[in-house]
Amino acid sequence: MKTVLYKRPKSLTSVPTHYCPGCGHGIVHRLIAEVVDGLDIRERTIGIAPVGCAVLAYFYFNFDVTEAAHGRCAAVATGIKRVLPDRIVFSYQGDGDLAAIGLAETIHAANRGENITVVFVNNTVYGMTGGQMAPTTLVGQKTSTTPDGRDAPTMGPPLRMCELLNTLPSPYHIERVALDGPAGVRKARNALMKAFRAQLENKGYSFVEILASCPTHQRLSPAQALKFVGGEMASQFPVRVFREEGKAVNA
Amino acid sequence: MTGNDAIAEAAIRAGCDAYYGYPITPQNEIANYMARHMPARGGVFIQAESELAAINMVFGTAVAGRRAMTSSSSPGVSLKQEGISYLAGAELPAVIVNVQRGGPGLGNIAPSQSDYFQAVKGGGHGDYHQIVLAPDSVQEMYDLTALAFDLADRYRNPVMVLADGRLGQMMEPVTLHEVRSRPPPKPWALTGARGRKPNLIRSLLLGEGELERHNLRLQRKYARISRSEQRWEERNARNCDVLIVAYGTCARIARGCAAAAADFGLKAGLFRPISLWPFPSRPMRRAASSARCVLVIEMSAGQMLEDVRLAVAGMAPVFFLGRMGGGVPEEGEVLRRLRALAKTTRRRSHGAE
Amino acid sequence: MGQGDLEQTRRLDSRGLAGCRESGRRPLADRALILDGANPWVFRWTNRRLRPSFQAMRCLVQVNRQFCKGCGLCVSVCPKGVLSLSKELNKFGIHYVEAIRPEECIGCCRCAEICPDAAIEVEKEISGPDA
Repeated sequence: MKTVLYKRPKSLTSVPTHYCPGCGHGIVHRLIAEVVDGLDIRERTIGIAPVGCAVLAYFYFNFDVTEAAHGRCAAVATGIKRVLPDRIVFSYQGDGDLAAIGLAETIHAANRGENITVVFVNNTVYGMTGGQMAPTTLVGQKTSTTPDGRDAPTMGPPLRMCELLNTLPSPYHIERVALDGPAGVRKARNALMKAFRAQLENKGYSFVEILASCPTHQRLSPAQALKFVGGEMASQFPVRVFREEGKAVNA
Repeated sequence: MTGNDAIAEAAIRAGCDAYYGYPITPQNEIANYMARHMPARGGVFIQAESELAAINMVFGTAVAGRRAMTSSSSPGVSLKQEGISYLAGAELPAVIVNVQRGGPGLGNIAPSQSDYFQAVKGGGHGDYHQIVLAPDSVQEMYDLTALAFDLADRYRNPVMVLADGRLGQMMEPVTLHEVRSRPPPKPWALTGARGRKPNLIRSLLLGEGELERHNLRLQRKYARISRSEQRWEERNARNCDVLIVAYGTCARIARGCAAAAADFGLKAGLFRPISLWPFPSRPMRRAASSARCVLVIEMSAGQMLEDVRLAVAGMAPVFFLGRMGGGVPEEGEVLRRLRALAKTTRRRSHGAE
Repeated sequence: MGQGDLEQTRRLDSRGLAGCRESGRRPLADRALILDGANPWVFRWTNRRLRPSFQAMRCLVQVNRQFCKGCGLCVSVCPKGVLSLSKELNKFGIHYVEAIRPEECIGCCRCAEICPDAAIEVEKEISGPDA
């Protein structure tokens, strides 16, 4: 008697991804596909792909996906969800897309309590364009635009998006998870499941920040990058639930 | 009704599903009207956090296969340029209203026509065109806005209604014609992949030669639009002494001045482009061929002037009367210019005999 | 085999084999008999009679070599040393991962959880007369 313990999700296409070996995006794509399969919403789901390494996300998901201008996913998601309220609309964004150029759209969509799900992949760098500093780069972290390490007095410290959004009354679910090992991956899947389910039940805005590896620009091997995510990154970006069922959760 | 209100009412009657805007004078009345009426009539209204956010919300609604509109004035329309380029590249229908004001920079809130280049020649990056319609009355603010939704859906392209602050604020009687617009089926839209393969909307084409082929397709579309959607109005345009070429508010002024010019024996005709893109070049050349000279009147430093020169192609000398920074041509100065031109052209033709 | 002959029991994870059931009359603990570190046998009590029911569990981990990018994360998280980078190359020129000790797999799925390319599938097979 055969039981399948783990199978490639249906909501992923059969296209090998262009992501680097060990890239966190690959894991997040897979988790989203698993959640969409698990909730059986593939035919109702519309994704919004960012500009960044995940710009080609639409080749990997087996459901409707649109591109958006850099940083504008939250506005595009608003435009879709308001006219198609019974579809499941999620945006998928990286550091620059969500926290730099798109910060205004991110905050205002959250503040309006749009009934969408926002997936934020935080790997502390701008991958696609060659590893530049991101709003989430750690102090002292060397990137291509901070060759001597991020200097807080001149560049500011990293932005904590969960904490920022947690100051708004409207969001329903805010959670940060870390892809630092199989246990972290399972927690991330649970968080995404809660977020998508919140939208399915018309509960409001859900936000999942996922700390992820970028071995190439974090300048580590894939296995070392996992440790970096669980170690230095998690110290700067506490892994916990910030808002659950509309209520703030204390640290 | 005021011009701004007429635009809003036309959009609602044309089945606009969503309006996204941001306050900027002199078009705030559009957003105010939409805030009052859209939700009541089943549409979506959002005052977005910026003009940038607004155009991207329009993008989203267009992606979902619905009709969407945004409006702004010159500085805000500058912010929308990226979004318009994306709409054109991804072939999405949308209506953008620009109620022009004085510029550049923050400028002032008086009317102008100094966004012609931005509207017609690009504004956003890349080889694209948006259809540009230029109303000259509150009635046309209504009619052309309704038409804009139709054209946008027909060609899967952004359409701009290019008005100015004076047209937006003025009040005139309007006949609210029934808008028989019905959106066509949109199998390409993102509505959830039920019973079909997933759809994809994008403008990023990285494959070898892919983007060039896409651009060639877009150019063929623009050629089709050019052939079918040129709109203009001619009044006494044959064998005139001065053919005035003007649009919008300047055309209204020109109409009055042309009538007044008859008093001193000048035969002044008017050629009014209604579609600024596609530009009615051939009809303009035909009209200019029988004119002694052409006078372009614009509230700018001379933007449409360049296209008129190209269209007229030397058939007749082209002169210019412009006001900038929110200035509006006055009847007195136009008539003085017409009189001066009349002397020049008569002298020339006498010389030729 | 009687109670006295039972060897050290080992608790398998929740995805593993069904344990023995307590009968109404004779309370018995779950037992699993491990032979050669490979196939656990299970005794199941039915009708108060000891009826040996030999079930074999095998976990099968499969790595799709065309999706695999050889990042090695699965190798680093596998608790049983099942996986390793191959000396061979796939069509993209990558040393893909293969199962070098497949019989050690216990179906924990840590490899599949961590794989960024969804290249790993894991199956569990229970065979035997009562399977």
